Amino acid sequence: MKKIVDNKRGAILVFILIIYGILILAFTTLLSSTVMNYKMQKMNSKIKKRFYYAEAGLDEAYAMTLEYLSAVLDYFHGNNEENDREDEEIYNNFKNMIKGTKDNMGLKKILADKDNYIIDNKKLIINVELKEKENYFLLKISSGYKTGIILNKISLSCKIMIPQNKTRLEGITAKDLITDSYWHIEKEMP
Amino acid sequence: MKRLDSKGFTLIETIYGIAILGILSIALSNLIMLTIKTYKDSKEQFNATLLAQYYFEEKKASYIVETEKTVIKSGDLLVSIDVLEVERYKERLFKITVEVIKDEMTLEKFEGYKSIDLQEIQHEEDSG
Repeated sequence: MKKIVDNKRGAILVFILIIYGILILAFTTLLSSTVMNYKMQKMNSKIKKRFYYAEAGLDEAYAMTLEYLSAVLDYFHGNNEENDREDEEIYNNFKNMIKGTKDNMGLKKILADKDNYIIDNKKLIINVELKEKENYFLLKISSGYKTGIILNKISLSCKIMIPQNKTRLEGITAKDLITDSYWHIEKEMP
Repeated sequence: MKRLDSKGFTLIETIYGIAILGILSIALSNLIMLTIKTYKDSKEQFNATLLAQYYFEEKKASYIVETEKTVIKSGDLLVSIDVLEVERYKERLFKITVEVIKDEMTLEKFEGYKSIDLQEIQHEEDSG
């Protein structure tokens, strides 16, 4: 046994194999860290893409709200029959057009229906809340995107004012009806 | 003198050793190449995402909207910026597409909208 250990012949091979082992170990570690870095860059890109999608959903929902309100105002502005009504009746009719009736879907259903969106609706997670208050509706639209198990949401809250009388209804635009709008970002854990 | 001779490797041994290491390195080269390629891809992806985000945000934040397609060269990357008016929501919504291309291959693509009405609200809040 001592003879084998003392014999230095072929020691270079052992030496080479050790160096080779160290090199393999070093490059494998380097590769795994670069792959991890690459995956993180891809994930970063995916998160940004989804965020812009969610933001686009919200932009479209807001544009849809304005279009809807414009259509409601056009109805009131161009309808003489409505103009002859009492203030209270106009107020109630306006409210019903936003809330929805048997003949009319209402704003909430229109906004919540993903098929109404031009943007890729498979990727869209949209939630709409419409609360009736004394003189206004409180509208909250959330557009979300999932990153792994975390659901990120961008929300928009605004008030839709209900015109109190005929004079207030005159000459107003859809934008005038919307007040107190603000954005915020939420995170939801499962 | 004899003790000195037995220490270290001879020249022949070293040459053989280098030759063996060279042959083994061919097998290792795949691993090295893959590491370099992944590093380059990762760096490119990072730059492409940053560029796309920069131009996308710039278009979203600007108060002047021009419906046009522009191509900007940044190093060996091409950035294509396309702004289109959304037919259904005229003058309200504009579709922005930013694409970062290298050698006819898309590295990054961001799509979204620019809402004129929402921008006005945020602007009012900012100045208020």
